[in-house]
Amino acid sequence: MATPSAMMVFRIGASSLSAQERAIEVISNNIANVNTHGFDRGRVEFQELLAGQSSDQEATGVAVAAVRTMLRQGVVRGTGRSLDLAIQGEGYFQVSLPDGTTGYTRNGSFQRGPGGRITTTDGYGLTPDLTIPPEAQDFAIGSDGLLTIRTAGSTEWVVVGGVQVARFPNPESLNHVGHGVYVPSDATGPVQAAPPAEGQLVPAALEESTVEVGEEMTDLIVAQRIYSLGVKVVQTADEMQRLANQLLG
Amino acid sequence: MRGVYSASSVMLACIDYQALIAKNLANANTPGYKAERLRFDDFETLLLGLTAADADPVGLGVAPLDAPVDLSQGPLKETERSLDLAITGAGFLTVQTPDGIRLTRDGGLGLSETRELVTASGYRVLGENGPVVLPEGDITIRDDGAIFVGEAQVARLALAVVDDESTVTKVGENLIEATSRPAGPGDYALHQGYLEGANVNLGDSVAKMMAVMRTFEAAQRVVVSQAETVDSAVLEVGKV
Repeated sequence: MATPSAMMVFRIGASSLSAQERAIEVISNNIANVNTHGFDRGRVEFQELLAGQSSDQEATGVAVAAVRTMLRQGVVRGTGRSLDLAIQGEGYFQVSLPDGTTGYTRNGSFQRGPGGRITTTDGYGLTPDLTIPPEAQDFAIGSDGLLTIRTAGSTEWVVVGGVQVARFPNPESLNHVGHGVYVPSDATGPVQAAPPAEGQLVPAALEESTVEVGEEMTDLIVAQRIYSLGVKVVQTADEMQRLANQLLG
Repeated sequence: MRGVYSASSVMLACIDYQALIAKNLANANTPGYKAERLRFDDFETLLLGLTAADADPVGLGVAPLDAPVDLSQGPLKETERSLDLAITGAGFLTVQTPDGIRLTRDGGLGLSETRELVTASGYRVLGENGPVVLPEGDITIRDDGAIFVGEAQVARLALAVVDDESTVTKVGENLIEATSRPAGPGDYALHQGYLEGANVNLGDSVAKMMAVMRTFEAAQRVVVSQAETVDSAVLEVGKV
């Protein structure tokens, strides 16, 4: 065993500070998304860290193993708006992100974008692309995800496309990238997209965020308390190192 | 000269203690974390060694404990997540790692990309018939470890009990290594939708951290003053 040194105490205190900082970041993001439709809160998973177990060989104390997306069904509330869609149960809408990759969201607050293209509030188009043709006088998205239109002077509704719902073997490992949009990680598994099952979509409704501010505040207080103890550990280590250094004089 | 040695070993022992306290504080929010035990009665003996003339300098330092890890129950916290499991009693979940089977009380489990039941760092959690794969559906885990998806039982978790607490070694990632035997009925109960918190007492840990700090300071003063005594003695002898 190496000679004990106050540096060890320093490193443990520092690991605690960075782990709690990460927790506070995740909690802040949860609170920021209390009004984001279809948002699921994130939870930090802490793990004990021994020296040599992370990329920083000297880091020891505690580490964040993962940030888990806590899947919870949010309250589905009717809006009466024909471009709003809520998902009941598991599943995500697929959207094309500006970098060309596919993002996944439960935020079904869609807009009619340029050229009739249906997009999210951030302007991301659906995958596969769904467009309301210009000749449509009226349109509707059903609980089966099908977009139907009616042209002027006609009484007949015609199907022009459909919304697909994506599922993953392990959706808890999706990473939040903003505004209720998630991207897969290594542990998410292969995506399976399909037309929604019967009753999976609720038209003219939105799913509320699953964040409960009271719960976040409790977690925040705990994280801050442990953070301040980490500061105390670092100060103690510093004081011990100072006393030890006096012996060198 | 002996006094200098014993005082400096007290300083080294204090650093060891401080590292253990720091580790407990850092993991106060880690699910299933089991505190490092501090033998504080011995610590006081150690302190006495500072003044005792016949103290054995070589024997000073933090003596290894018979049971270095405090396996006592941590508090349960409700999470409402179906793959969060808290254990009460003596049972541990068994986990397959590249180095062999390890034990954990961290029941914040998840699924892998192939829907195998895994720990937060991705190690497979073992059932009585090996790794557990969960089909899609509502997951119910009974207090005896039986896992149901919908109405059908798909597996039963294999829990273990530590045989000899002196063999408990922490291997990181909330895992321990220890000699163990399969848990029997009555050894444990599982609680789905809960997590077990760390069994760290924050107030007590902070108080100990401060006490150890002051002892370190005292030992440092002893080293300084004894070194000065030796210095002046050498000078006096030189004058003759």
